[in-house]
Amino acid sequence: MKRREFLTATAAVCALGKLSSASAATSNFGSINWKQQSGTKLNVFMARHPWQEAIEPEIDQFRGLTGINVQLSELPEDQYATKVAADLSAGVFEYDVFMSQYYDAPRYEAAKWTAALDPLMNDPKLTDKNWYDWQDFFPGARQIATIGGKYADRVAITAEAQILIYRKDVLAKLGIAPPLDFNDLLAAADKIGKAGNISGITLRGGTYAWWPFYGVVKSYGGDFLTPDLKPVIDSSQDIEALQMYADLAKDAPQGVTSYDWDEINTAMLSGQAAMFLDSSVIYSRIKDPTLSTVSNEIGAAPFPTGPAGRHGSSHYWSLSMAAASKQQDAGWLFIQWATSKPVQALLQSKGVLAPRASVYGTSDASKMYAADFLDAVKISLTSAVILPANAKFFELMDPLRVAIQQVITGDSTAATSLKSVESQWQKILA
Amino acid sequence: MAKDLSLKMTTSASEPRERSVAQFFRPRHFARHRSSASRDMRRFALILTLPLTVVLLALLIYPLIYTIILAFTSDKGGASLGNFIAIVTASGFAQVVTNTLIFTCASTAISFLFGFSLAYAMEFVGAGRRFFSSILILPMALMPVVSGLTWSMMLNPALGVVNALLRVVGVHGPGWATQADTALATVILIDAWQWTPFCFLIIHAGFQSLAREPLEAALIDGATRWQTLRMVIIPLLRNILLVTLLFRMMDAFKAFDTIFVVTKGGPGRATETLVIRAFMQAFQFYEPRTTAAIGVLLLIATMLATRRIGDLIGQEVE
Amino acid sequence: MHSTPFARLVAYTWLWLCTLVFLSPIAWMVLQSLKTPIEAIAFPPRFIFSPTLANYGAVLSSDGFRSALLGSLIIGMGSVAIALATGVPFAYALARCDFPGRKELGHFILSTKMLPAIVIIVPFIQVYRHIGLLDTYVGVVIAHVLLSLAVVVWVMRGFFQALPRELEEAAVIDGASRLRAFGVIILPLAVPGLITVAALGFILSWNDLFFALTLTSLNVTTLPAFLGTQYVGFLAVDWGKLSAAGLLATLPIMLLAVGLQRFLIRGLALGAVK
Repeated sequence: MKRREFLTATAAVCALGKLSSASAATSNFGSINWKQQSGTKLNVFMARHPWQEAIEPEIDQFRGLTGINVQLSELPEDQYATKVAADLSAGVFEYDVFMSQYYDAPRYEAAKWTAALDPLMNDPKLTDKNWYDWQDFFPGARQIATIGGKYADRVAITAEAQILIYRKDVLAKLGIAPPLDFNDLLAAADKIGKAGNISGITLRGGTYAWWPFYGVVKSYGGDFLTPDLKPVIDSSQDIEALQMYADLAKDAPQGVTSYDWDEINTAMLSGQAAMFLDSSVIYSRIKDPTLSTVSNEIGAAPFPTGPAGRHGSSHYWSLSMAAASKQQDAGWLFIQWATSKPVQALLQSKGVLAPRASVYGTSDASKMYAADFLDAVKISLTSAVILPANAKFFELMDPLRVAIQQVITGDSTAATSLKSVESQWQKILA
Repeated sequence: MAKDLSLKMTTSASEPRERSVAQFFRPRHFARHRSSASRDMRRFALILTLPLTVVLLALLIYPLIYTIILAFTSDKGGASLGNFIAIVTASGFAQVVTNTLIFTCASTAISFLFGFSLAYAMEFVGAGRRFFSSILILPMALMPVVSGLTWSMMLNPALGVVNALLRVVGVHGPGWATQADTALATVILIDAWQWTPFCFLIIHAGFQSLAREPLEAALIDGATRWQTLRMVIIPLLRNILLVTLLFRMMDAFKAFDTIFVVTKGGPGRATETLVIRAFMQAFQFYEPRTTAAIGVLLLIATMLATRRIGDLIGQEVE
Repeated sequence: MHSTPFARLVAYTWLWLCTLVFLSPIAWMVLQSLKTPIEAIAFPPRFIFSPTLANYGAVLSSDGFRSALLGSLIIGMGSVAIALATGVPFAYALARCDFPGRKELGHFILSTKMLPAIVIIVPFIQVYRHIGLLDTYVGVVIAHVLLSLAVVVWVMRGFFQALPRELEEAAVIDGASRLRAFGVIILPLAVPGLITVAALGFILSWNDLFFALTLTSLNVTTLPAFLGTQYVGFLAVDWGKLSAAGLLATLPIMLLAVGLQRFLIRGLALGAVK
């Protein structure tokens, strides 16, 4: 576990801090007294993530602004999830502020593991509401704050859109235009695959395949659940969507059932696949010539349209505060700072897309990202969907993951496997 | 003296069955004949075992009782068998149990056979003994996080080095961990690879502790190597071999790291074992009662399976 | 053992064959550890490239790696010491002393290893919190003792049983205390077993991630947790550094193994002298 004590400011940190304090000086941080919790010690827990990588060097700025000492702990996502679940379940969670994902919310709220943030947000001593500007967050980002339905227990820190990333050179060579709908996409993937040098597309077939799959389902007019939690996963639209997903997977590199985020990235970065239908987060990495062999050949397009329109998945990581935290005021100051306009703009300029609309108009954004990418994200996000989170979310996703994999490997058909998911879901939700 | 002792060991070990039967009928023959010595012995045993037993009980009794109670509690709070019924009737349960059994047996058998044959081969080697016995530890010395990730990348059908090498010699490599029909075999091989050193180390040490003479006596008497192995070495090493098997089996039964890193139980449910399922119930689904119930099932199964072997080892070869 | 040239040939062939097969993934890791990030994921995988030691440099110069190494060493040695100190006498009692409940005691020790940590971790954490062991070195050491204790007891019992009972009986008749007979006569003969269980216990502790992850938060760091955190990012695995760090992390174990070999030979010699 990586622990960095920010109490001891080394020379290196000072050097890093210069850039931050410069931007802090030019930024306006509203009218509250940020020093009110000076001297408090705050434990913050993060998963390894581009957002974490971007904000970590800036935490010194927060220390300067507030006098609060932040002790940061990090783990990779799988282990992070295990640690958070174990500690919360055992009642020994030691962190004040931690990264959360919106589909955890119903569980967390039901168990009262997270603190309600709305009282803090509405306390004029702690929050300058005009400056913080809650309405600036994208609608989806505001929606996930209260996804458990009881109280706001999180604030979005990132925005991820499911978009199409493609290799300009490969498509151009074969005379393929960037696909606009799913039939184009499949035809393009087939054509590239037949040409033989490179896989047509890479997509998730592993444990987390349900995230990109949901975008396909919604674009085909299907859904996972009705609003009152009745499963509708075996509708003809869902079956068509799964068929399309599995057909696309045939043009993916062999072994796609083990492909999650890591593997689809590797396939693109190493030039093994020509298209990618997943989160926009890949962009800054794939454009980095020290990590990617194809950094000059990358194009981006909005999520393809299906029979029911364009409804790619979206995802928002968030920050939550532990209900057991004794430093709730200081914790809120940290959350507020990390999700404020100036800090979000700073992070966006380092390659992490923000959940705030105002940040997208800045000149920093266009310096950092190509126009086709910004368009792709903006267009996709306007009609993007978020997964129907509920208390049984992961339990529901498990049989679905099995079904997707079985159709991809040819061990079952889309109709049969989704029928089986439907009956399992009915049992789980009964 | 060397000769005497080793001969005694040979005779005693070559007829373990009679001995154990005899022991069965007079289990406390010492106690009857020398009661003060036996009281002394009992006090000595108490001093050696009691402190540790108390500490272990103090640490483990609460988690154990907590787990058992939780396993028998319904989500509404009353006592019930509902958690067990839910597990057994859950989709894929039969496959998960089959996977667990296949994984346990295959991984145990493979690592044990390799470990034993390597340890035996070491007995014929003069030069290079230290080299082999150090370097053969490596698979176990690597952290499972690292070796699991490395294996899964190496065996990645499209990007990995294994299939790339196969392609060079004109073979279209299999899907390894990504195909339903090869995934279980793949994770078994990785697990066996990792734990062969465990068997090797213990059995090798067992060989080291053997007196040479009975083996050489047997050979001089005209026994073939196979006969020596079967009639002398294996009986002499019986307890060590059984202990090795026992621990390998228990570890394979609850193997987690490799499967989780390489497949997370997929594709489909091809590599899902009971422990993987317990993990998902606990840390992804937040269903502690189901996890506890799976745990109780695992505990009972392990106890039943190990009882017999454990008793065999417990019988003293006098 | 006297062996024919043919038997030796078969044995060497088998050992070399297995060594090659077993070490091939490790050889690949060595190659990976010498590559830049782009080379490490290059396709087709590269065998010829200009090697760099940058990964090793980066790992070794990281404060986190050094403090995790220290943490792992302290915990590994501590847990092995405790497991041996408590487990070996226990094993001796099981092997030699006739007392009621002996069999049950053996099974009890075995049962400490039966439940997967995953299942009992939540109540276990609560016990730890109650006695103040969470997030302490002592706490992780004790958890790691649990990992190896059953192995120590059962393997050592096997070794003790293989020694003839007459050895200590003779000493006791000559007037030595049981404890003395155990310490002076039996323990030296059981050296190969002791070395083996010490090495196994150390490896089990060294490689444990789950306890290290769940029982600590801020104060204790061990190598598996560090490696996983530092070189497995959200976007991708840093293969070069992960391989380098993984290989470096095996060094203490290899040193231990090579060092212990000396005693293994010595144990053998003692056994032969008796």
